[in-house]
Amino acid sequence: MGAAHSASEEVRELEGKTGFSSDQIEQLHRRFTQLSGDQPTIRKENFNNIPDLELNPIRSKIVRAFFDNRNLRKGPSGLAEEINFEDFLTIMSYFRPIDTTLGEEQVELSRKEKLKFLFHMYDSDSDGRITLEEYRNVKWWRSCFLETLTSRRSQLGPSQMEP
Amino acid sequence: MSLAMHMAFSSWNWLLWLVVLECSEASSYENGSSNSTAQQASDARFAASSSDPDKRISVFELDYDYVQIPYEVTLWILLASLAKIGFHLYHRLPHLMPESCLLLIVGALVGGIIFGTHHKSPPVMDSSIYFLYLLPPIVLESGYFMPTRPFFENIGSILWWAGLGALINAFGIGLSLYFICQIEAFGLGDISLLQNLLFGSLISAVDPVAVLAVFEEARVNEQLYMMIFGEALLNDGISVVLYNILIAFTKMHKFEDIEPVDILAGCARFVIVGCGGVFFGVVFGFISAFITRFTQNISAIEPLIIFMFSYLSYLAAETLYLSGILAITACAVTMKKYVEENVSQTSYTTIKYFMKMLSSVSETLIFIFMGVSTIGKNHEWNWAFICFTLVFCQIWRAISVFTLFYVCNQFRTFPFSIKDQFIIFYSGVRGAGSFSLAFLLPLSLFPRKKLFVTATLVVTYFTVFFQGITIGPLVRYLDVRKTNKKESINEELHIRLMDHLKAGIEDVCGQWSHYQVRDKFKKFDHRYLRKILIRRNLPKSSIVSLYKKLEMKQAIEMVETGILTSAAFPAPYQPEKIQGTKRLSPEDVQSMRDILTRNMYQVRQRTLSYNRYNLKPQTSEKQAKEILIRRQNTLRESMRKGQSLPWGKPTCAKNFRYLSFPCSNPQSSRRETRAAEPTDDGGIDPGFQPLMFSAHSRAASLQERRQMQAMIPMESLHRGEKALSFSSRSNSSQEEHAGRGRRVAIRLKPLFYAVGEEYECGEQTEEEISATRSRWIAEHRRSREHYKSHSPLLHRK
Repeated sequence: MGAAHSASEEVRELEGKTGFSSDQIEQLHRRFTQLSGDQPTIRKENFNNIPDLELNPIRSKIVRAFFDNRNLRKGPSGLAEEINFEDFLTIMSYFRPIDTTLGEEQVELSRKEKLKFLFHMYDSDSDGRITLEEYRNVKWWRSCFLETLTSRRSQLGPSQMEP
Repeated sequence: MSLAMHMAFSSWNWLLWLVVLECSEASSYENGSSNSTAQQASDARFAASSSDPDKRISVFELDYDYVQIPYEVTLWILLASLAKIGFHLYHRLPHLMPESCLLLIVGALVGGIIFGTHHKSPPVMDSSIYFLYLLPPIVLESGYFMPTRPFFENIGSILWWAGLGALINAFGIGLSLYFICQIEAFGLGDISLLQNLLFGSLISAVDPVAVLAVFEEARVNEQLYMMIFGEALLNDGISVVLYNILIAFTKMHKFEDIEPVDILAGCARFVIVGCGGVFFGVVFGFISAFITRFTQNISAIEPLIIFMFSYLSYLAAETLYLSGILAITACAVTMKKYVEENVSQTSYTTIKYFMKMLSSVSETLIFIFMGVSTIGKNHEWNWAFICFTLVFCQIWRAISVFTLFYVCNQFRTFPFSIKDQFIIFYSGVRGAGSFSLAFLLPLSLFPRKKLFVTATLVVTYFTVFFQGITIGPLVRYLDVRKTNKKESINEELHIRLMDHLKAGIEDVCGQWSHYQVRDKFKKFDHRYLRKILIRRNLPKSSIVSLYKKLEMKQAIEMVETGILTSAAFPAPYQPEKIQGTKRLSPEDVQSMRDILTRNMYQVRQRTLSYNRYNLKPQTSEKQAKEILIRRQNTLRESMRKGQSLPWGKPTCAKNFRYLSFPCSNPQSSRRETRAAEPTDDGGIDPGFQPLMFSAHSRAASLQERRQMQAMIPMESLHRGEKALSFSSRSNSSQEEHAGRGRRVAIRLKPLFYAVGEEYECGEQTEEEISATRSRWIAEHRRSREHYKSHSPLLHRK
């Protein structure tokens, strides 16, 4: 009884932090344990078990985004070695649809979070700016960027990313 | 413009040719004797020859009646095929109207000719021929080509919509028409409730798949696609079951004698017939999958087994008055997965094409028969009945769509938008099914049969032509309405990135497998079913698919490790200059767009594509082909530049090979490739070892029986790369070393050696490379006997 009680408390805590419903948390937990092979944490290698992901051209960026400290809100830069379930949920929460009932401020905040997630994907050296180099490093469209970028040089900082 | 006119003229040519053909047909009709059936004719022929011994031997005789039926049927089919060729020659036409339109026109033409020459058309269509021969191929084809995963994910919605929708439509239309018939003025008072209900059930058999081709290029999302497909699949089955039950009712009693007990029995029978049919289908599917496990030595009979077992499931179900349609559908769905892995590649292709061919023939015959019936004397026109039928069909379809989906949306994670629902409503095009059922009504029970046939024909023609032709523009209008402006290149690229990101996250969170039932089934499947039903030994054909998968992964890894850059543009790169924004000229924009579409890999399509009349290659096949073609291009280029040993020379001068982009311009890109070093830091350092492990695990995630094969190249690679990592000189950074090692591993990974990449100032000498290579070749030779079909791959260079 005690274990169940604390489990549901945890779930409620996670609900509060990440905004998922308890059903979703259950499902994601199941997926998490499936990916991690019943371990409490996931490493990068565990993402290799996903067959469909192998065919994705930006797979490594996606996997990297899971371990990015900025996305995990653990620091300004760097990569974590492994993530636990709460971190997993944190990352997943970036992809939740925006709950429009929460009010203007919250909606704006959610939007900013999502944009920051994307920004972190581009900004690989964590300096808070996207330089031409980094932009081009999203490798697989390099060639297409070339001409665009020679004509439109852009250096964006995070402040300029706001809508 | 001139090309379009040319195409139009050539299609006119085809039409002229068709007319000529039919005139020849007509003239041959007139030559034959008009009123005897083929059977009598053949008897007469043999009798005549034996009873007229005095007759002179004539040098030239004509006996048309002997071959009449097969001759005419063949001519019809040929005619329809020629028409289809003409139809597809003008390439914009298939997007304007569904092929059913074409078939109807051809049928009407043939009917007109037959009518005009007062010829008695051959008895192609009667009840037993339709239900035994013409219907099963159509149903089998739609069951076989159904995409299983989306189907089972949406199965709740599909069953709800198809089942209840058919019932609501049938009873709604039937009841409303009954009330119309009660009105004295229309002269329809003798049509009883039961007959109206029967008419309602047969007119509600829709064939929405016919219009799918029309709005295929509009991005129909997968859910919508699945609903349409699922409806088409189950709709025929349900209509026929309902039809049979109501016919049984009609035969059984007069209307007044029917008690509630009978109605309950009817409902129970409905359920039993449906479920029983599915059960039979599943059983037969498993049996046939099991049998294909043993056919590796006589692969020529594999298609035969598949078809015979499917047909057998249909017949077995029909014997017990269960639903044969649902049986054959379930059989196709069940056995598809296992059969695809067991049969050889050629058998697989044969099965697919043969299925398409059979169903195409059946449908053509039915439509032509429909056209033949149109132009004839067996019509009865009643304005009220027919107009109200049309009206009620649309109204009840709208009612059923909007109410059922409203309820359905409450339970779905992806609700259907009103736009989707409207498209589903509008795609309610009737097809061959309803006409056949109307035609086969027994005249004894239905004195007003001709009225029903006429009404069905009118509804079919109207929906096929009017709705079929207008649905394309409608869908495009609905779709395009939101995004009017053309996106800039930047937007396009970002959208692509986000699509890939979304697809990736979907995979990570296992979106498609979050149903517990499905997970459980998959486990059960893996542990028991696959062991029983799938062949142990490796068929040779799996090499090709394994190769494709490896190719694709390799290409993606290449991208990630930053080997790829390209200068598709000849303009030299100036990194340091800060320029103001310069407007790109429209030609530049257009050329960039072209390069985008040419060079980018397709996002994994969540939208499916199905065409009833044609087999299109799957997206993954297309993608694999893309990679192969580009590979070949770059290899050809490397050959042209005179490199026999791709990695022999010291490669300081030459930098990166462009594996994915056909036009390569090494000079200008050299600088920026140095400047832009691959900083895929997250992926490389721990990535090196896991790469091999992941390769192993990837091989394991393919079916177990492939593991044997996949392990062998992986092992030899492993050994090969270890040798390299020992022998490589010390480099500046661990990352580079790991990166290069990985690249080298990638280099060795493909199943043929000829990869023409060079890396930055390579320190690997020729001897090293050739030593490693020979080691690898030696190992490879040992394993060569495992896959003989490898040799064509090995020899390409």
